[in-house]
Amino acid sequence: MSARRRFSDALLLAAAFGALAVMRASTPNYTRLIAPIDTHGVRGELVRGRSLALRVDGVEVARRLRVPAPGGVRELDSGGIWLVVHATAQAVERPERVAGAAIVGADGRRYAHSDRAGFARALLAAQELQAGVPARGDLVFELPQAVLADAHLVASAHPLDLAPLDSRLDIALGLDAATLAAALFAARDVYDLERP
Amino acid sequence: MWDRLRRRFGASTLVAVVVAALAFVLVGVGGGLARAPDDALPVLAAGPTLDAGPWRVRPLRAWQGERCLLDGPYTQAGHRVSVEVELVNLTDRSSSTAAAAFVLRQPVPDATLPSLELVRDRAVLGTLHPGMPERVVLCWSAAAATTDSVVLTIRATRYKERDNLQGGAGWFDPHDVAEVRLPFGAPDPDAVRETSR
Amino acid sequence: MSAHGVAAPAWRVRRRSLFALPPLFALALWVAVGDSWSAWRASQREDVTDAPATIATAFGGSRWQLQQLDAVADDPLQPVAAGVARVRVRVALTPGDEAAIKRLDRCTLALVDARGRRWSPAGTRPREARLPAQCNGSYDHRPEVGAPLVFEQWFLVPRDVAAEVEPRVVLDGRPPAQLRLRRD
Repeated sequence: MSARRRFSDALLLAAAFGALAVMRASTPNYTRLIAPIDTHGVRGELVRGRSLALRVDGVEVARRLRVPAPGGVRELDSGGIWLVVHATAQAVERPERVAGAAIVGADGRRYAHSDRAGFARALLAAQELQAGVPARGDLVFELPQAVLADAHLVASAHPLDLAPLDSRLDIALGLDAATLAAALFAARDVYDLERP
Repeated sequence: MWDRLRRRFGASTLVAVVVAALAFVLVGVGGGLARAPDDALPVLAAGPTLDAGPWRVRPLRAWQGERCLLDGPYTQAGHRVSVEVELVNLTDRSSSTAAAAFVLRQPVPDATLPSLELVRDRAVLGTLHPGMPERVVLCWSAAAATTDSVVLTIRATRYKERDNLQGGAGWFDPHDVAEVRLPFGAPDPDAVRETSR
Repeated sequence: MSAHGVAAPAWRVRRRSLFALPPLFALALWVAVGDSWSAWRASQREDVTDAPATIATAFGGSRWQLQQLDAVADDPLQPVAAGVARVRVRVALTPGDEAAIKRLDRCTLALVDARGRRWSPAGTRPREARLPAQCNGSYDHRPEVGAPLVFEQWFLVPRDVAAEVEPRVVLDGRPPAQLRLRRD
């Protein structure tokens, strides 16, 4: 083989390796390949996914949460604050629940719907949603105050991360600096889930 | 130059040498020539914090008794070992896998997984959220203790962007990072208070 | 190096290989995903029996007939959102044998519209409703072989489909056996 032919062969081989390396580095990992398919929206608009449609009506901040407990009520405090999201939701095709909900901060940290609140009637997650029939309820989250700035709500009909290629709603809560300051100023001492 | 070497040593020898050299270099780069890690684990007492993969752990105290704090009135009494720790979730999402970070060595437990109590609520621990420290009591059912202290190992995992099986992200490679020795003492009054606040 | 008429010219071989690619590609696709695709097709199949309203229809060992299907006026004690209607479905069934009665334990009722949307019973039963709410009766009304059992379910549906939804009785099975109770 001539030297020129050998050189061009070597070049082609190097180019092939280079292309493979670039492809390998840029292929998303399996988690991203089966990640949920998001439908985006903002507070106040009805965001419609494949299985759920949800509208965020408002948000409130509280230091403690009052929830039903065996024998009465109890008050839950927190190392951070309680964020209560008022929402109206409905199923799209068949009966569903809001089985997965979380607040995602600007840095990407995700705070799942609190499991400390039990099954108060006011909780949206406790209701079975019917197709085209809106239902109102609250979603409650416990998080550090610093996460609230520019936070999003994500919600889906299956627990987050458990259903591949699930339809997920991603709704911006509109907590810019001014709105956030107002919400914190109006923060309640106790938010009552039994009689909100 | 290659032709001269090939005539001197033969083509197969040349290929063998080149491949061996390449293999040596790759193994070295991959860490195979490094010294094996030490066997002994650092020993912790109550107080200092330790970062163990997804969790930041601070052991607080230990006690023993006939029941776990969350045992119902009909659970058979036996010997229970309780350890209180302060935990912080260092990952970017809420997690309920805290029990996997602790292995009770002494006294020997009857079952591997402890029950977990969130001291704040005096109720079963659900999920721990990122960056929010919480006091948690782990309770194992164990053989009657003949010693006056409890020994736990703290197990950490490593975060991998791509695992070896499916290429998904997750925490893998559980390995022990520290040993905690706590003398048995009095229970935390907050952890044993009456449930209604 | 050239062969003398022994091998076909190279271009002919290459052309044949090229033409062989599409069927090979289709075969590879079938081997890779054929099973999953067939399984998905099977899961989309529905096993639906039609039941005209005028006569009782045999299904799952019992005879079924739709007795009443109407949108009910709003109850001031349990208000519903605007655009939502309450629908009551009353069904009569007569079990044929003991096996049919056992099957009733796993029976559910749903409302289905022309688009395929489904509704499950929503908890808006008025307090004075006396008929049992389940296919397998209630504590006071147990199903008996040859004896008619009437049960009633309440649903919340969007007002614009209240006139077109049809009840379906769903018994267990793969795929679940469904009985479409027609309005006419």
